Amino acid sequence: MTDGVLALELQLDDAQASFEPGARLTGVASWQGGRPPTGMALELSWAASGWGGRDLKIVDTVPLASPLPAERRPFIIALPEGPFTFEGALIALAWKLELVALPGYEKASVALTIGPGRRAVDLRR
Amino acid sequence: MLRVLGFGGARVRVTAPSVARLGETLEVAWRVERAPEATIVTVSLVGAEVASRRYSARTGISVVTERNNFAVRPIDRRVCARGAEAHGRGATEIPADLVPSLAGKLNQVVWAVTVDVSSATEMIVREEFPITVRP
Repeated sequence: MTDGVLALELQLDDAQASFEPGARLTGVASWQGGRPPTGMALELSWAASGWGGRDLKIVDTVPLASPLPAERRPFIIALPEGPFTFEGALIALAWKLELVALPGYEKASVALTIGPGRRAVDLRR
Repeated sequence: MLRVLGFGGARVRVTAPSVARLGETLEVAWRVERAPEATIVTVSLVGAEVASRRYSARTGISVVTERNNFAVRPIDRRVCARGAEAHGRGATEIPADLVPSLAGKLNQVVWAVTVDVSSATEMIVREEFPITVRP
């Protein structure tokens, strides 16, 4: 364990970051070092970024109860049916999963793709 | 769902589901009354991304909106005589490989049945009947 910096990591099973809508997301959240976290949570969110600004929605928060100073915690999250990841001429929508530590709000994140065929939809066709 | 709108003397009625799913067939019945002259009625399903930007100034807040249609699917098209009542039905599949409705504050994906009533030279009425499209 190292002092000072809390190291956070998110690993998705099979290194798979693309999913069908409604699929099950599994992986392991791990952390070590620094001050022992007082709380730990997973946050699933999407952001729609457009010409005029960004809309952000936290879809699911999974608290990881009673975190130890160093730990590997498996997780399972049911993904929603939508919205899909997409890229348009004016708007792009992206999903991410974050591991958030308290009290310092240190974060680790992974970008996710959620869409039919496990692909982002391209509206610029 | 039945919605009625009237502009320029012409009155447009559309009967369609207010909620549908990607990949489903959308069935639409439409009627145009009191068209002021010989008209062409074009009914379509349109999907669009709509992005808004807010500007703040001492005089208040203004919102500017940009729109991009990413899908236009024809449903029906008819020619009708002056003053006559035109009506019809049509259907189209909501493309399964596109995206459902999205209702962000600044960024939206909208779907609508649009009815264009035009003469040989100009647009008389263009009206939209929103539909919520789910995954």
